[in-house]
Amino acid sequence: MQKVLLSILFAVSGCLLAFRAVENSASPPDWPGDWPEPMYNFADNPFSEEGFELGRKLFYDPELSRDKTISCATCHLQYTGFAHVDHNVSHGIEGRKGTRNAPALINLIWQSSFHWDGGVNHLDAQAINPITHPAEMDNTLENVLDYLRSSMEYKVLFHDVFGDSSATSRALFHAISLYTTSLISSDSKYDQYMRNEIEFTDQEKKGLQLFRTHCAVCHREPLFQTNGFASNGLSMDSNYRDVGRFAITHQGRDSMHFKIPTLRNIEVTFPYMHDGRFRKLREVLDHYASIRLDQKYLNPELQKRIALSPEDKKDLIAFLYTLTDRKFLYNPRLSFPR
Amino acid sequence: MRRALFAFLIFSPFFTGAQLALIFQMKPLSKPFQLDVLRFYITHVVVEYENGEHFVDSTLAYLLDNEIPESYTVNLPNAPNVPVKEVHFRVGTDSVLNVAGVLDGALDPIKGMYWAWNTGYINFKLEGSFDGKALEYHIGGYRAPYTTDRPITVAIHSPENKINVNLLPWLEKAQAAKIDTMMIPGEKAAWLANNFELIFTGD
Repeated sequence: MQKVLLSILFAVSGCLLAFRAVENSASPPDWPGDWPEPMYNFADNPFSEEGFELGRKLFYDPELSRDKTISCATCHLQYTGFAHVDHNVSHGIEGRKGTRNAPALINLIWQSSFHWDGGVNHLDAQAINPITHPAEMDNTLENVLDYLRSSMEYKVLFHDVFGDSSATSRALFHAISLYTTSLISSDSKYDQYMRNEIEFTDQEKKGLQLFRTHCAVCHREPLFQTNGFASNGLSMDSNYRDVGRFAITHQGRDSMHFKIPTLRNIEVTFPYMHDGRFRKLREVLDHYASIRLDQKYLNPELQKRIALSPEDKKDLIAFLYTLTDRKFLYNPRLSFPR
Repeated sequence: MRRALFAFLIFSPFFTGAQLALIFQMKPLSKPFQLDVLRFYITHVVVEYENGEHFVDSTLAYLLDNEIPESYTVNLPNAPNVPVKEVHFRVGTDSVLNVAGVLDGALDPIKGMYWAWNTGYINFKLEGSFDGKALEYHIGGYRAPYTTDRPITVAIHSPENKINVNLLPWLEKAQAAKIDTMMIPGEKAAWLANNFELIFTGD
């Protein structure tokens, strides 16, 4: 009896595989040759097309939440750089609200820590948080694994990818990572300009120059991120009283420090900052140009007044718009699996 | 049915005469302490023999759970079963395990010994009460200077390689320091971990 069942499983999975092979050509994560080595260890979780598709299915599956209403994609929408557009803080099941802005999921394999406070040290482990957090999906790992182990479809997929139809925690989070490691944005107008394929306007060129003078130490090219943390002069938000990285390290010097995010696709990932307090890039630049300089933990780079004229701000924003990568934002391979 | 019988033959204690095991045995707590949960990791087990040889175990971690009596027997099937002088192990998980992503087996986050928001293992979990007052110690943290895994050496005196687990001296220290709950890594968690060595002695 078991043998018959297994044969059926194999036959079904074979058909699915053949079908998928037609739909998508296999393509492991790829990035420009002059980019740094990623931090993610692919040797530990080797790419496979089946694994990517399984991760993609999980990413878009609301059954992972306790009341089956929200998926990862609820707060991480592709068209907005896998951020939660127009929501200052993330939303969970039953309209519950989190305390921080859902970060954009872009170029994650170059990130050494996750969450605004860097408390999560591994991409695989990150997804445990939204699944189990009461203000997000409010589920348990036990429930999620029970669901995956009782679904014929998932049994076939897990067997294909990991050789075991019974999903384990490790297999589940490896699968999700096989999708999230593929969220690579490297073909913006800026990238095309750097490859000498197109020209920048004068305004964009001026903006790039201003960017390199005032912003690039923390938002380092080509990833426009560093894996550091900074206190960027924001006053403490009165709603959440968020002390940032201090909650993780308990070191005074980390007080009010938050992770330095990537600026890629910044045009579409609003609102900005850890609590989503700014809706417009203009407001962000206004903030950086008017920081109170006597704050105790302010980052050294910001302790000198950044003088930006209204023209400068326009130029900078014009440049920041060149970081939008429409191929990434509209790549059908990353969208809801049909 | 056949498979069940097979498993019985392989794992029955009757046939494990050649296997070395460490038997952890819980010393009963006297009132006013009442224990509800005790779960902790044992890692990096090294057995030192009377004959001067030693055995280095390769299992990543054992999770000992007061509610699962079998977990208190740590089987070392590859270790020579000759008289043991000392056993070395660490209580808790080292930084390598804490940055390895999601693991299976004893280290599966499903075991309730894992913090997701501040990634890392709870190395030692003890819940109960003292004089009706709730005690809740979740001791973890792998980042220097507040690491919470600690090396332990136990001199073995019994042929069964028994190791006593006596929480009383540890609890008394925590109580003397007026610590009833611990849920985050940090200086206090590291101090509580320093006292792990009070818990383990050879029988």
